[in-house]
Amino acid sequence: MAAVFIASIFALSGLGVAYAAWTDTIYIDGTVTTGELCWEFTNCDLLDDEQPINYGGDYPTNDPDYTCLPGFVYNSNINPDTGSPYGYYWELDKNVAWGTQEIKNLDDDDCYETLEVTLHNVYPSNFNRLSFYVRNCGTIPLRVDHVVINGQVFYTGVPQVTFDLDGSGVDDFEIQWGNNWGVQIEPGDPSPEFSFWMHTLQDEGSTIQGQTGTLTFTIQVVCIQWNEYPSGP
Amino acid sequence: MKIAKLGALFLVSIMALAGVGAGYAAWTDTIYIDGTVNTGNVDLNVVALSGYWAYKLVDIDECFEWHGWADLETGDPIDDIAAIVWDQYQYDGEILLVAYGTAYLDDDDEVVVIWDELFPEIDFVVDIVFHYEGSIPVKINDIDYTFSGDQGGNWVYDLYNTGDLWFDLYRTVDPAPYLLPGMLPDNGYVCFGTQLHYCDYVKLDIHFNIPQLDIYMDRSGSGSAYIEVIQWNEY
Repeated sequence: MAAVFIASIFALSGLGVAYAAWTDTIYIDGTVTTGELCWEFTNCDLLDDEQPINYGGDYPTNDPDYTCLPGFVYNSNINPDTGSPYGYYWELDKNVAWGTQEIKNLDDDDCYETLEVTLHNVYPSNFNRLSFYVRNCGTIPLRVDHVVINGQVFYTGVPQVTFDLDGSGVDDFEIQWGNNWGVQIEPGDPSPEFSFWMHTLQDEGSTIQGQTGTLTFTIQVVCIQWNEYPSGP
Repeated sequence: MKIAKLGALFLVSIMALAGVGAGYAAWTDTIYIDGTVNTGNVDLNVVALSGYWAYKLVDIDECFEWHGWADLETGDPIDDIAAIVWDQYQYDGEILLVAYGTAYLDDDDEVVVIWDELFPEIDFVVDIVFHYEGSIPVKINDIDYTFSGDQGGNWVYDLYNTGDLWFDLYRTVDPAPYLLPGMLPDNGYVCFGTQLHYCDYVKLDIHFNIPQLDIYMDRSGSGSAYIEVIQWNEY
């Protein structure tokens, strides 16, 4: 008997009915964090922050009040006490008014974004100066862009703004902001000194007369990410 | 009578052979078939990555942005940033890296993309160049993505909806000769069902723009995506 070979051929197509298609997959996993533009007050100082010991004022005193001319005009007259020009502001002989300041974190984050300045017992011609430092508490370099003083926006120059804080219709207060536009502060770094001047005006119609003179005001200082400076004029 | 005897002998012989054939193996001959089966493959790989870096040139207060190729293993820029800055600004002072987006390969089939300390007004684009190296044509079978954000919301998905986070997927060419990722040509839109053949290149650009809104400060988020190709006849 001859041997008989039987060959079997399996149809590939028959197997393919149950055979999974070949695939390949690339996976992409991403994370993102955004930076933060943040600055905060670090140190503040008022030229006159010494409350008089005596109600109504101290005289003589080692902590006298200061005064200046309206509009913060330079007074070139010679001060007989010093022999030099009076300058932009000069000492009086009594301690009557004073100022206080407090740095606060009012929005419950980690930055002290608010500086409350209160001038006490002021009177017409009283002068004070606030100096402060800020720190870049964010991750992005910033620059000082503009300041909003009593609703007025300033981008350049040495803004001088007058206020009617008691609503009498006559301005009773003025501020002069120092020129620090475009000051750049790197992340984590402090700023140079910023300052502004404050002067109580001679408001004849002021309701402050006869009352304890306590004024409050708000100034917004706005910084911007450094590569977008300036944002305005 | 001899012939008769001879015929008798042959007859006997034939019968003998036939009888013997019952137990004697038949003559055989064999031809052999040696078969070798080489399977094809489906293989999509990442061959190039790019990043976008934003620097501040501290001493001259300039913003320097660089969209360049990234090292596949580390995500670092492969270009000499200091030299480039010098060419453009003649500046050799402090260079501060402020923010960036880049990518690196975690393994052959996984890309990790990182955007760090992003801020507005810059398109932080990260590019991924794929090279199809399989021997079997494929088609784009599936593309999917998910996003998540912090603070109880999905701000990353919100930015996707507003168009501040978007993707471009298109055919391109071998990136090797190109100094910059932005120079690669756009040779046509790629989407579901697009067929790829051996040595086809596809580029995915992922753009991330942070809007100029304070709510996007100091946020974190994540996302994941995948691209699946399938043998073309099974699509």
